[in-house]
Amino acid sequence: MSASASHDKCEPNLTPLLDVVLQLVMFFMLCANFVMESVNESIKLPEAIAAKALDKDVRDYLVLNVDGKGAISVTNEVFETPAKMRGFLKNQFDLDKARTKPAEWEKGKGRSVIILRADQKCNFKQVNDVMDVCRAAGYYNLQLRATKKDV
Amino acid sequence: MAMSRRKRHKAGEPTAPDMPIVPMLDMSFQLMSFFILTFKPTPTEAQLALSLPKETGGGVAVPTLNIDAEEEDVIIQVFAADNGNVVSIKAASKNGDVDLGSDTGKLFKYLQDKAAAAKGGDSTKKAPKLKFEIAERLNYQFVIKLLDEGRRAGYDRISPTLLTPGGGGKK
Repeated sequence: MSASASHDKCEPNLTPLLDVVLQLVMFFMLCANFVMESVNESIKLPEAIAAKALDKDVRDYLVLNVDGKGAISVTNEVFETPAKMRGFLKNQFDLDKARTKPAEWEKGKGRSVIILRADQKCNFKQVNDVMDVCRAAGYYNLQLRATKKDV
Repeated sequence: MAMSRRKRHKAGEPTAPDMPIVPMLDMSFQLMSFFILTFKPTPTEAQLALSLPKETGGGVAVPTLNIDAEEEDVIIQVFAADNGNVVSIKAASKNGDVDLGSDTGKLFKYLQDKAAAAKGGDSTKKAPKLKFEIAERLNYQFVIKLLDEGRRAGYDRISPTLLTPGGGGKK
């Protein structure tokens, strides 16, 4: 009888480690946001305590980003002044009207909600000019976006 | 004739598949590193809803003398310096303007008292409309602060407008 020299290899069990790593990967994958939500990240929003999250019922909304110089950016377009945005808003209004049933449109439904993301360095006139252009185009449901501040 | 060696499997002995996990772990670490490096926590953004009048070009403030006796809107005038800082806050009313200083603490208290007086203990009643007449040079950050105070005081219908040219600017 020959006793073969056995070399006992001591290997750590990698399966649980792989499980944990995959869990972490899933977490970061779910948190990753590859779709730009037409948000201009260079704009620093003011803070507000009573700001509320967007209603889940709101499906159609348009985000207008206003920088410190008063220029407005919407999705891929940039308008130097609010007046230059009139044509764009009119087209958007016509689009909203075309895809809404006439009966619902008469009740005031179907119009996109305008969300204004203005930089905290703006003055009130710059923001008010944008609001005036939105109202002239037929949009009365405006919301000012702010960073939620805890009490 | 070459004798081929055959592995002799004993009858009934199961063969355990050997899956190399180390390369899979390496790839998982690579993926995790990518997502960790590209992860960017975004601050929570929320909205302050406005109640705007439907007439176009409605930037002119409502004259304080024409307050409807039946539904008295609360009108707050905010004056600003050239650098955008607030100079004074006044509450316009039929009985005379109330000076609220430049701090929003007094404004909040005033708005709360007004809302409570309008509701008269009836929780189902809505707070009156709140209108801010704001100087054009006022810093937007302070504008949001004003709207925030109005919201916290219980006002659902808040409308900011430009202060009339005669009342705006440095005071």
